[in-house]
Amino acid sequence: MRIRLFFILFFVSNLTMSQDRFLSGIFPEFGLNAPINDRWSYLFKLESQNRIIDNAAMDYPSLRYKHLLTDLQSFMSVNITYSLKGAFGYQYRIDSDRTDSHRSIQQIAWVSNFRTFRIVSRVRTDQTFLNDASPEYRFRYRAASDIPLQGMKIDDGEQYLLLSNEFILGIQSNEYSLENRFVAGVGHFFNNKEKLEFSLDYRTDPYFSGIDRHRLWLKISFYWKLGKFFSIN
Amino acid sequence: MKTLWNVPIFIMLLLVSFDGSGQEFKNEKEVGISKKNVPDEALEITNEFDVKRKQKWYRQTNFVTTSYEVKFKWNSHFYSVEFDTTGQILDIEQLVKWKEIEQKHRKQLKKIFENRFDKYKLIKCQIQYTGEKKSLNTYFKSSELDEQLTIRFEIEIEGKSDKSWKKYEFLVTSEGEVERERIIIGRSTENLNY
Repeated sequence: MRIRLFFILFFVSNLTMSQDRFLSGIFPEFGLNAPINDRWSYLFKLESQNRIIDNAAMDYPSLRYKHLLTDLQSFMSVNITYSLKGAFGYQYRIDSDRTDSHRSIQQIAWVSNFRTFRIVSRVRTDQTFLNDASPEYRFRYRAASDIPLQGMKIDDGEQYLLLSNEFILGIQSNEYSLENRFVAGVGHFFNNKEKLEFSLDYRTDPYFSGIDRHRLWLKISFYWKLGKFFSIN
Repeated sequence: MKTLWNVPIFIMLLLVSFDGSGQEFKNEKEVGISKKNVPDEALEITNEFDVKRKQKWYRQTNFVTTSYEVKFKWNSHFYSVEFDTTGQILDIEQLVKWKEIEQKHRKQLKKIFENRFDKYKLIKCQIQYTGEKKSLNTYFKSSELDEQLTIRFEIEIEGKSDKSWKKYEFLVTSEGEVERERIIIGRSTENLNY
């Protein structure tokens, strides 16, 4: 217990005492999955970043609530095989600091099954178009897993451990950037239609000129899957 | 009286286990339990096993019947041994690689899947041993397989038929007869995909 407390204090003090930018807040997410048939499905996702703590104004983190942005995402997903899915999507971002932006997204994701858990690998490319800046192009890779906390598989009403890590390589006006996102948390699997997750999402960037921004989000995510619209292909 | 209560539950399970196409769905729940919740008879049998690795116990239910399972590693393979509520062994399942299945059985299984699906991918292969209680009880004491035991193959695959991919579990006899085919409802992945 003491060792755990030491690591938490060490981690937080490292972030807050340094001159790096540190901000933290709440990040609610809502995902609605509407299967169209056995192959195609539509997914709507709403996510919002709300800053609570920031060290930009002072040398130390202080309470400064601000709604930073809200993303509205729409995806069409297709099952290429049972465990391989392709998707393309569009995102509209409501940004409180700059003009709203549009993003096109393409991704492919596949499941690797192990004896007691699974890993979903996702390769994503996206292009962000802004009115006041050059377009930004990004290449992303994420590995994510949900590990059962009771038994060998996740059954209805059980909890799971959520772990994921993502690398994001971006290019904008001939300048490269690299960001890392690590997520750890717990989820409650109500059933195959409803999932609730609480997680910490730790984002660091940029890597090329040395990390100078740390963002720690408390994510609260709810996923809801509807029944199939049509039973024919 | 207890048996009478089970009748409507059994009918309900039949209704929810089959959809309009008559296909059977796998519907099981498994929870990790401590040794003190395991039937004494089952513990007595496992205490006789020549297994040094840690044994983990689970209670499994298909919402009509309950059974107990112990899982462990023995001779480089993962095993699960299933017991009924009185502690009698029901079967032993050995997790194997596809290549470890005898060639004549691999041929039989391949033929079944090729006839049934346009495309398929193997996910998990298990050899199931059933038979005389005495033979099952002594399985983990001898490295030689008792010929009295009946062998079946429990294979999980992802298969494509009628343009749609689904996950299946097949139980196939050593003569190549499909004894059971069930659809496995996989957990949705939207939280890991998006």
